[in-house]
Amino acid sequence: MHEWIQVENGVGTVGITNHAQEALGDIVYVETPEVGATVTIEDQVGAVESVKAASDIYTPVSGEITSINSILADKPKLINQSAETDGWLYKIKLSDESELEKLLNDAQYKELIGE
Amino acid sequence: MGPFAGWSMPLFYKDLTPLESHIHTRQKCSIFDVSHMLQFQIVGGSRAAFLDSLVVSDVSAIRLNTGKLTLFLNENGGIEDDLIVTSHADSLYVVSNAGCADKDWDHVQKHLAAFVQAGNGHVEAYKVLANSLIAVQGPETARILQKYTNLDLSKMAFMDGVYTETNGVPIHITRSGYTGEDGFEISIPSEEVVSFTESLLENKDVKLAGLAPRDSLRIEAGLCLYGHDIDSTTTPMEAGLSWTDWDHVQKHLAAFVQAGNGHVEAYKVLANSLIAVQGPETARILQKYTNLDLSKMAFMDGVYTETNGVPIHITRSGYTGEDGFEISIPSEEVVSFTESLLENKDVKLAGLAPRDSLRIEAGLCLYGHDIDSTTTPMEAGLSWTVSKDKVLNREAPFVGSDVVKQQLETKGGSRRRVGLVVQGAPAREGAKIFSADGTVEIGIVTSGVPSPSLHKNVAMGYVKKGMNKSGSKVKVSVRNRMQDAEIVKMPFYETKYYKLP
Repeated sequence: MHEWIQVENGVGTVGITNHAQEALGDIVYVETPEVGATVTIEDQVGAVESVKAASDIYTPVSGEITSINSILADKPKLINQSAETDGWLYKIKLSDESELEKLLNDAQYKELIGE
Repeated sequence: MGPFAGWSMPLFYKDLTPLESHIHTRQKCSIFDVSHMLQFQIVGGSRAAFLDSLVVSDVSAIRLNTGKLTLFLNENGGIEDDLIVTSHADSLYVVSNAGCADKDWDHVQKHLAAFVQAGNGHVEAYKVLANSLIAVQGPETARILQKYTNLDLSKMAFMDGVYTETNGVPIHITRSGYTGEDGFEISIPSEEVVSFTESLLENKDVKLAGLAPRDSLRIEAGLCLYGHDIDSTTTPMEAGLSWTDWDHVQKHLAAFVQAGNGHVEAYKVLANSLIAVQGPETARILQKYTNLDLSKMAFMDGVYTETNGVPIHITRSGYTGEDGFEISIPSEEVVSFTESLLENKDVKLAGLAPRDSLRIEAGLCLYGHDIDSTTTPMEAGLSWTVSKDKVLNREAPFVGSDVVKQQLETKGGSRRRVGLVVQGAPAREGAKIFSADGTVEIGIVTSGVPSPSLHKNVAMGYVKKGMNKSGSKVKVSVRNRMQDAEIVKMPFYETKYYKLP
């Protein structure tokens, strides 16, 4: 629900939204998927943990994980600082680009969270 | 905000993140609103003997103006709740968990009745409540009250009770009373009770009511619990009405009833709030608010005193592992007192999130998570609360004492509470604990958090007896990944309880 994806040449970059990082508070641990893993839309592929809570990451699209943001292992707070840019979680080669049509766009998401 | 034991509680306050608030408490001073906890007083000459029959500690041996952590057990030796008892010249002051409030109160009431009936002497128990309670009584009540709620009151039978709202204010109403008339009792936030009462009074059939005749009040023992009978130390809070208002109400009620206008009653309600002010700067700051010499108060000491003319109860205790105080103060004073504390630059408000991470670092149990009615004191590592003198030298001294005695003598029970340091992802409640080779499940995590002070993942949980040795390597499963962990002694973070110089 609170993941974002940006797609370029069939490869999507996935992270959690700024709204999500604000709700979680200080992030202390990030669990990312394995590079090479094949995942299906809405699979639980990782987790973001703060002092307050553990929050599972669900992939917004199906495909193969091509890389992960290795900086997060040592610097999970990067997500607090820039959730929607440098704090991305993983890149995924999409197996079905039509899945993108089911997602909310930026304006729809902002409406959902009341911004 | 988050739900907690039926209350909406602040998880943290906007100006500090949970982590910052946690650290702030370790370094400065934080205020926690813990009014949700059950506070009650036990009075009467046999109060200690009575409470002794329910808890594992020797209440009679608690020194005047000091407190003790103790436990209610069930017949099987399982822990029903943990509570703190402070002994005073004329009373025992008890604080127990919000989540167990009803259960605890039932437990106390049940045993109290039996105790008194058995001729063991005079004991009474009084709750200190946070909400105001008004009783609106008499045959016209339902018709009038119906204007204030969308609830169909005609569908409520005698003794039905529901949570609902009036004009956006959440209330609890029961179709009950102590008058023999139809009527309702309405529990409403104290800050709303005045305007709600004023609004009711706009109906011509409702006279601003007052206290019931003395003799019926005496019969209505239940209400006396919340009332004004005995409490010499807590300011009676007249549901937000001033003393002047209250006198007015009483005068008019008497006249109203005498004039044959029917049966109407109104009740005063006691309401104290409880705040925990925690952290190393606390004593220095609090000293400005009291003539009491705080340096003479040791950890777990408790006294009735006053601040700026307001009667308060303070204990040098808390739930963070830091030095600090818990302050019980009349609800109508708590906001201004808290605001006054917040004028000190080192004082911040703190919510449930840092409260949880702080108490875990200090190795303190949270009832319903780390201990419950299936856990015995021996298993929980709480045998230190048990009075060996009571258990060994007296015949069946308290509920559950048979099991406690047997387990003390045989080091019994099936499991032990342990501390864990976990590599990788933080282990939280429900994570399973396995043997070092990952093949055998040996226990479960009951609380865990990435420790803000220690920068490692700490957790507490239960493992099978015999596998609880400190230094043992184990595995903990987090999201189906086995992670290395080690059993360690608690507290994880050295506690800073105050010792007398």
